[in-house]
Amino acid sequence: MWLVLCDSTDAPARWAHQGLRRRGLEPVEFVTSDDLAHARWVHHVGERGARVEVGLRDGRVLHSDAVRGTLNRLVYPPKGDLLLIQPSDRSYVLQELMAFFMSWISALPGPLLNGPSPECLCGRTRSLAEWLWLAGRAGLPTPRYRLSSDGPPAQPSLNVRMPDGGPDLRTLLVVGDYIVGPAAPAAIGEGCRRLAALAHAPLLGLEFSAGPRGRWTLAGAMGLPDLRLGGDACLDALASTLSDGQGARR
Amino acid sequence: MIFLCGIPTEPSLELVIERLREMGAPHVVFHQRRFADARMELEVGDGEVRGVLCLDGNRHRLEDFVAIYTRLMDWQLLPEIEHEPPDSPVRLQCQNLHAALTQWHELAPGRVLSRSAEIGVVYSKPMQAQLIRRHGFSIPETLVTNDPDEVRRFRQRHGRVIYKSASYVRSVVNLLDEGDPSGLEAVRACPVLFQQYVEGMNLRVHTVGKRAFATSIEASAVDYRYAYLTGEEEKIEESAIGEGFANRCIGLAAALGLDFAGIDFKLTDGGEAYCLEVNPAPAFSYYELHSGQPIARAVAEYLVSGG
Repeated sequence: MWLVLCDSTDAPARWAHQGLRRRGLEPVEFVTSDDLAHARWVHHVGERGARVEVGLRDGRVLHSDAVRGTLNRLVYPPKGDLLLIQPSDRSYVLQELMAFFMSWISALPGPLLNGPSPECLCGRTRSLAEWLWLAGRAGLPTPRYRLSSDGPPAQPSLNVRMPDGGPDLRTLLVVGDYIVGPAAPAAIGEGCRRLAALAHAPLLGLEFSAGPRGRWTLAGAMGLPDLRLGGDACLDALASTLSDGQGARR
Repeated sequence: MIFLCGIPTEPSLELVIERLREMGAPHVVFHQRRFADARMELEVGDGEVRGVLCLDGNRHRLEDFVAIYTRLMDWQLLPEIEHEPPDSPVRLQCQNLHAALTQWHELAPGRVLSRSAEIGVVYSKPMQAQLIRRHGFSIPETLVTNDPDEVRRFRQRHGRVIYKSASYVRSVVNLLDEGDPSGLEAVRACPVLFQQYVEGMNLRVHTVGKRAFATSIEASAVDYRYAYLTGEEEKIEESAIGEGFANRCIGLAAALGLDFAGIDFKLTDGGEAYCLEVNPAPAFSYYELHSGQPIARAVAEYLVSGG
């Protein structure tokens, strides 16, 4: 079994789910945050490893042992559960749910695109400064970026973009070992792979602006990219990565 | 130059500042409550970070700092901020400064104790338990569930069971009351972490780079950190652990990406060590002040040797 985890309104995830089924991944369970609200949870961690049983509201039961790979686009735990909690306790309960969901997603075997962080269940949120610094270390051309305590520094986010990235942006998707998108110089493709590895994000969207001499410069990074931008090639890469784990092993 | 930040009278930070002074190591302290006198500029390019930090009228180049020790508290809880309206200039300046500082800590090339990415490992206790087990340590059997029947089965299997928060939020560790089965219905609201209670002595191992300091804590309370609430006393002293065990602790911290860690164990009478959790930003002063172990000195030396 493969899993597609996402928020209820995530159209790219729904598109990916259908595409993965057409490519022969069966069964692929499509599980939204609404499905996970009020679920029954049993999560063991011990000498025999970690395992999770989830009983969904619609009657489906997901056993972690049966999972072979996961496309994870779940941002937060389901909010439906929080509405049952007294307002004074909601902040604590949200932390507890985040901690629990992080452990559940981490316990899923097989390729995981992408793993959880304390800020977001489908990856780390980073500031633009951090993305540009990582990209520079990965060998990608980056603009100089300044921030000051006198002005509001851009807060960490799942998707960030240079304020003046320009109108002609080109988006490349990293999916495991694959680079999907418009034809790019080989050095850019290699840099994208290195950046994804440095960021521990096997699924990553990267935006580039092209300068007057056609020089590609990083203009944005997306931990939750619109997969549809990559078309069939993205679905092929997802199916391959989720099947054989290439580039997404933990 | 070493950069330290937080409230300088906070015991762990205070001890490290004292040791740096004794060593004659150049350092700069940012007193968090004096945020109004601080400003910062940061530039990122070609994978490098540079900039300027102005504190109390002095200007410091960020590139000159070879190591950072941060004990910043949540800026929103600072007394100077607590009663500021949401859009007050003071609050915004404090927020912006802390955001810039935090971003610098993530990108600074030297030794940083500790970066928020590393601190993230503490966020989820059951996730951390998975990592600890993968690195070869025994862990207590753990259940996180919102099903009361599963809790009852778990208790039947393991006898005495404790419960605590699954997140980083500090909670008092309590034994599950065996006489109140109806109370378990409350878990339906949110999954709760239950754990096999391990009888034995508490052991805290601080790792600083390649050094380890083991401290035993003898206490009758289930959670020795709160023994004072019931008037119980704990006995805290240096503990001799073998080189092999110390190296395994150092290896665990390194595998989690931690230069500085506080690792909690329970040692059974049979000699087995169960790892309970790893703290990536340990408030070590409690242990040093009781046991006399030179943990702050080790932290100071580690920071200095980063240059």
